[in-house]
Amino acid sequence: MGSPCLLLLGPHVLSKAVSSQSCALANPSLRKFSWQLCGRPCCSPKVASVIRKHTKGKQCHQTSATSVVQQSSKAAADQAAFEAVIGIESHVRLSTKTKAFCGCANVYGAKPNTHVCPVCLAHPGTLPNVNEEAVQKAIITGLALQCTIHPHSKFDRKQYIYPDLPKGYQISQYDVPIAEHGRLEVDLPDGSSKSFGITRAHMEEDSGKLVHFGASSLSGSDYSLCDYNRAGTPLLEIVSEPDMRSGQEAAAYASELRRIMRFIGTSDGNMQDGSMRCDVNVSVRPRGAKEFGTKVEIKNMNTFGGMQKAIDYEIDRQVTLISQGRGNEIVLETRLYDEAKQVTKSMRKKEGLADYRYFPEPDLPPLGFTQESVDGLQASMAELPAAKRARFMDMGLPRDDVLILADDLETADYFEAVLEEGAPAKLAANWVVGDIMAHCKNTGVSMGSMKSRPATLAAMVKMIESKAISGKIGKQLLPELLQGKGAGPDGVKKLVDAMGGGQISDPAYLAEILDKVIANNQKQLEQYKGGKTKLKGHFVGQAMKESRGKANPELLNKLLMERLDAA
Amino acid sequence: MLRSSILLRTAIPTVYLRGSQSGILKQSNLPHHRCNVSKVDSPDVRKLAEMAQIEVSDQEVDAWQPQIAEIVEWFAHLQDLDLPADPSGSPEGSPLTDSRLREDTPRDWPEREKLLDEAPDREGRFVKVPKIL
Repeated sequence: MGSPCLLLLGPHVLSKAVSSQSCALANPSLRKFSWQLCGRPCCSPKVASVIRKHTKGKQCHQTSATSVVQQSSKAAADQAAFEAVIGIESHVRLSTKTKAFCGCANVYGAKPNTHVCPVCLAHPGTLPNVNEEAVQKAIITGLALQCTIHPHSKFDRKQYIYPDLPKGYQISQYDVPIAEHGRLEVDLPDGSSKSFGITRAHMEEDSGKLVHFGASSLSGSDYSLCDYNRAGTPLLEIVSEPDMRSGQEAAAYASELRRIMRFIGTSDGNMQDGSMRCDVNVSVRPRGAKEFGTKVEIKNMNTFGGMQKAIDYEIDRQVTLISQGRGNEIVLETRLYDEAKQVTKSMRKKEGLADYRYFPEPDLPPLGFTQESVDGLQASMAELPAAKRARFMDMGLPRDDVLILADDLETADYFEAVLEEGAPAKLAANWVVGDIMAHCKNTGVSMGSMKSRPATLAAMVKMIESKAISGKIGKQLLPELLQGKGAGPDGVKKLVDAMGGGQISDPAYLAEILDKVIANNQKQLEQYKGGKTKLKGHFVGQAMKESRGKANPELLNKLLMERLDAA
Repeated sequence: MLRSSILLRTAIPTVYLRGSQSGILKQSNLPHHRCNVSKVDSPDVRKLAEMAQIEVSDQEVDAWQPQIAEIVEWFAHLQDLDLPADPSGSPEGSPLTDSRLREDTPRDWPEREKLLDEAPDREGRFVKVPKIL
């Protein structure tokens, strides 16, 4: 972001900064000030001067700090008077080996038009054939979202006029979706939780991919090129109730939805690859009103952070328009999120509701499920993220650690594998959330594919727990373990021995070290006795240095205090 | 509006068989109820053409209007049939692993290039299509 502050860009952006708390100060150290300056409650002159200093004299405000205080206060008041209503339609690609209605491979990133056949290219006389795995994964996802599974689901044709689906229609589901009436419980970042309704989840096929030529986007292009590899791949469209009230809630919902699908293995949910695409409907209404305002659809969000910003921007845009008496400018339309500029832009107006002319798909018999088969799928479902988080919390782990450990399946699996090897939960969590995660981040290696196996970390953690080695030795040891060393029975112990032994817990040896340290630091001893008790740390440091970091810290502390108290 | 061989091929049968919003196969009536009205309004050909994204001339509208009205009238006889409320006729409790479902095993179509050659226009590995909007 080139500008030091979005406030320079005009009033509509001012309101953006107010609600999204995303004043774009380039310097991260200023972010906390940007909160105060551009967000609620208001900025103080002191903060404004800090901003000026860091922005080399450029005033953060268009006019003066005072006027911005007034503007932001008004915007904040406008925000408080309105409530946003947000619903999300998520298209997720089901992780199957083949497409929904033909045997072509369902893969991402292949050469164009290499996974096509007469069915997905809609050649005359071909018939679709439903992929069993896609149906099962749709049902499992529905069950994970606490939906009712319809025992007699069916497919419908939805008229579609673009050439990326060559049939001229999309096989979808209309009035009898495979799953409906569900709920999704979400843990919000502030520690609270909220339940969002799921209206329905229905199966459908994806379209092919169009590349537009002669322009950067679809409108204005001279012609388009089509790759049908994606045409006919299985999607599940999950429609939420309009239950979210902020960008943060919407992002938390979508994030948990993806986490669920990854945990149960029904979709990889990669937004960058288009495996999960969210269309968000946003409207605002006066707080307390029952009727919905005019909704605007936002597309093109590639990250959850982007989604949150896009929604908050859109809420502010609508509130600002209404506050300025320009509410009639909010129209039924689709807006695209511009990630670089962090704004939404109108893509197309919607003139009345689209007429898709659905009718039952004559080429496919309806689906029929017995309760036994649904129960069987329910029983086979992997543990859901919420259940995993609850289990980790029951181990006495801090909430922040639990959120990280249960954020993705690979981390959770690694952590649990360490526990299975007998490592204590809290200590193991510290290592996994701290050093192991940092290693993965720095090296770009995922936790599941590290050279170091969970058993090796467990062995080290157990040695720390039993005080055979100190945490400090553990830190020295870890890089070796991460290179794959220390595997096998007693592997870690052998490594510790090779490094010069483990933790020293011999009182006589430690006493000897302490006596030497105290003798060499008589001046500090006098100061300590004079009341500078902080110097205790100096003695500990010297003794640790003397023991080359191997002294048992607890024992060393105890013996030191005995000596200092007696001095 | 555009004239595309791809679109025309697929859209025209749809237009003829489906009727318009005011026609016999009204969306909201579809799967739920049996409609007892055998007399239906003739669809507006110009509106049908608009929904199908095809151009029609005044002469075509004049020529097609009575023909389509006749076809729709013919289909209207279906309304008189006494059918069960659920036209999908789904069987009670068919198992999930019914023979109607396909095993998830990938197969390559051997004559892929031949299929793609059927496209009206190509560019490299892509199928070239006219501009969309």
